Amino acid sequence: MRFIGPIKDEYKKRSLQWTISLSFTAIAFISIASMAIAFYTHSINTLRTNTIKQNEQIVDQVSWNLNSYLRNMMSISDTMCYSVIKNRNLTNERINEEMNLLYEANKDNLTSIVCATGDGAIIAASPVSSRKSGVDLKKQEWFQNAFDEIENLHFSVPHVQNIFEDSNYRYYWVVSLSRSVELTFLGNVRNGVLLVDMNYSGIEQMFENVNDGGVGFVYLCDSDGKIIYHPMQKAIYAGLVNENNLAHCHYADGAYSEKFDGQERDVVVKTVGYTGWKIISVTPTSELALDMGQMRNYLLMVAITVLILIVVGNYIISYVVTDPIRKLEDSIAYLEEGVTGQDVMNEDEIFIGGSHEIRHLGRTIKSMIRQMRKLTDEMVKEQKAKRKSELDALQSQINPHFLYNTLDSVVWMIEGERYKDAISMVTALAQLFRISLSKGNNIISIHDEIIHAKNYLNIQKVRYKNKFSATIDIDPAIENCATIKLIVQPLLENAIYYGVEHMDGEGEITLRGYEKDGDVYISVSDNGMGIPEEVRQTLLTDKARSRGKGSGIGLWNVNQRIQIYFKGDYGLIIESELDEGTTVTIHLPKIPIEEYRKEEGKS
Amino acid sequence: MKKLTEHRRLLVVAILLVIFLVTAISQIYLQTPKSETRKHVSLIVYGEDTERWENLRDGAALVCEEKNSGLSLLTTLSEEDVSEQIEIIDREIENGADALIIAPCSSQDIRDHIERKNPGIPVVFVEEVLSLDGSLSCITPDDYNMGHELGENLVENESGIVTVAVISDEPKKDSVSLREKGFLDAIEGKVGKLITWSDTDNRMGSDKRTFIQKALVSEATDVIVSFDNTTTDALIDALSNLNEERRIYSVSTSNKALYNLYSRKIITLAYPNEYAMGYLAAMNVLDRPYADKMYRDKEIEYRIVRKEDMYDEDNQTLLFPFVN
Repeated sequence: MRFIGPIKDEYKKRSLQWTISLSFTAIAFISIASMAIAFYTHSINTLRTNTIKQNEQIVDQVSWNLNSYLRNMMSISDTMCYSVIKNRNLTNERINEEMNLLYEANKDNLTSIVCATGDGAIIAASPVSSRKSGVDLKKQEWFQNAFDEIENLHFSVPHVQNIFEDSNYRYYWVVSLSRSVELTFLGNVRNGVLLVDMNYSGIEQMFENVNDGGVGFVYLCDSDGKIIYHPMQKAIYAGLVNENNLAHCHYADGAYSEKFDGQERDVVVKTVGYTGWKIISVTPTSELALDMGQMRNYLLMVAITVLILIVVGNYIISYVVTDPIRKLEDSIAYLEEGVTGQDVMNEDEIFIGGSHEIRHLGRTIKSMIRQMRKLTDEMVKEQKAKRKSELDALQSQINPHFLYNTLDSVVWMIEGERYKDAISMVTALAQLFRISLSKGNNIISIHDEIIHAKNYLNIQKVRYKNKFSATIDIDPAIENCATIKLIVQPLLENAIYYGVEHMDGEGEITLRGYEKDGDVYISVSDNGMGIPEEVRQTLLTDKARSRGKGSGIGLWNVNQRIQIYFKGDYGLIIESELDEGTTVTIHLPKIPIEEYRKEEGKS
Repeated sequence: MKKLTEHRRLLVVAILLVIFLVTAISQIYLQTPKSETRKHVSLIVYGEDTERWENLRDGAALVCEEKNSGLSLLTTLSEEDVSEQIEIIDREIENGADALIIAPCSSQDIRDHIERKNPGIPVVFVEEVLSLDGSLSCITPDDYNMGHELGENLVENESGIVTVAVISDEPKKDSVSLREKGFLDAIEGKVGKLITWSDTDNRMGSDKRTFIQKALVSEATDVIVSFDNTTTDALIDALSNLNEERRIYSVSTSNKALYNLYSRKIITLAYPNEYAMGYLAAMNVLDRPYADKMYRDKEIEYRIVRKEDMYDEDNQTLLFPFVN
């Protein structure tokens, strides 16, 4: 039982195709094996039944032949008894002539006919031969049997005749038929014995013919189980082969199954009338199995062939059935991987094929994905727009403190009658606002952005009483390229507030614009105190958002805006050395402003 | 596309497999009866009298028939011609006999030849051969005991003063030597006089009868003992020729011996069961495992028979084979 659990688990883990193949194959295997076993068993049983029937017929035939043979012998005995011996005065009449006639007529089946007195003296015999000296007939079994039951005929088991001499050293195996007869001598009736010795080879031949070929064998025993004929008679006498004759002699007529000497055997028994002899047919089941061996091999090969065909068929059918499901599953898995990898879901990659049900399932999943994608896209767009507007709004704000200081500087200039400077500062401030607005465009040319930066620098220079100098170097080739507005000013603001404001000497701020490797770079460098490395690393993270000095917009905001507008590896690069200065570089794609607007107009 | 190719390959393999199996089925179905191998056993005996070996051959034939094997009986012209028997053995081995059953005319010579030849097929001796190596075996009755029992029977039936002549003419046959030894051990000191008639130099050529006749004429004896068929038959013929009568104790399976047992010229006959010897020898060469399993402890039977009991139910089945 403990093995079933793991097998079940393993079974559950397998693919649908494997499960279908295995299940169908298992069912097919069990069915074929059951059918083959049932067929084989049925064939064996049929063969056994037919063999038993055949054996019964053989035994009937042998019985009929043997009965005929024995009746013939009995009729010889009767003829001798009632027609020759009875009422014949044996004192002066001889019976040899009739006896010889009977012998000659049946000599193929007879060895001899003998008539003897109750004292064992031979009155007549045919064929005529010298009696062995010293032989006492009274001691022989056939003689004694005749007197045991005088009204009956007695059949002996086969024995070697021991009555007559044979100069050629020949001996005769006979079956003796003896009976008591009435012998008349001068009117006196005395009991004697009539012996008809049947040639044993007649019986032997009868059975040998039956046993020639085929399975099993037929043998003959008397009512006490003594073997009269057996194909292995000598081996049985020598104790080399065993036979169940002592049990068989008690069997009634019919068919039996028995186990003898470790061997299953089918036995058919038939009793021969009058003698009580038993004709027994024995068929070892193993001999039938030998005959069935060929069929067993044939069945086995056919079963294996059919099984192979079924296994292959199962594999192909299960493949045809499950392949669309597997393809659908693969396409969904691919989709899942795509979503995990932040790729866009593409419902066109969903497999639609196979049977009606699978196609319907595929189409439903495809429709669902399309809906999902639409919803997701809308959500992303909304989020992006919201975020962009937030950042843009933040960027667009002018720090009130900056405005207050600038306007205070203007007031101070007017009071000091420095009207020219005041006009210049107000003009710069106006330009600053104009570019800030930029007709509502978030994307402007680098040229405009640099103008905005210059105005801002001009204002700050006045405010900081030229405490720092600014150098601007912009490659004309990039001036017409697109940039997000107001991304340079925060960098300049940071350079002033954190770089040069607290310097003892004159600060230097450098604004550079150039093209490198097909991209645009705008860098703002100062010669201030620099930024510690640990601070530098956090500047572009959300935590670094500062609401201190300046416009209040951290480098993080600038970086975020660049990444929202221009995907990819664009954004800010911050390099700093303590006591040397800091350089913040804007990395942008090189896109001409007209081209950007054209694309924007399309979308 | 790849899957399709795999399927096609699988289909081709399956079709080839089915074709192979169908071919195998037809081969098995059609050729099984032909493929059965039929072995051939050579039964090599001595002497030209095939009837003398009938019981032995019948026993071997029954097993050969059971095991679907052929059996051929090969005799020699002379009973003592070792070279002729060796020639037959070599010829049978060369002709591809699958097993040999040998009744050696000279135990040690034939044993030495077989051991030297090492034929690589089962070989079983059906008469005693002493000092066999492990690969050879012999199926025989207990010859010493048989001789001993014959001697005991003689002592029981004869007076203590009789003169006993033992014909010791087969020194090359270990079985005969053992019988003789057993017999002599049994009668030692229990008979009047013991004479040994031996023609080991074969002065009379191969004519045993003449040798025995000469011995009969030259020495008076009451009882004569012989230990094999040929000598017993020669003894009976010699006595008949001389019109003499002696009491004979013998080991023999010949019909002549049986007849003379009945006519009381032979007083006691020791009769080994040669049918069983043939059966077991054939079983040993054709199915050794079965023989070892079924007949490991089986001893070859012999009977000590006298006229009075030769027609007993048990004895007659041994003494008188069914076919004659």
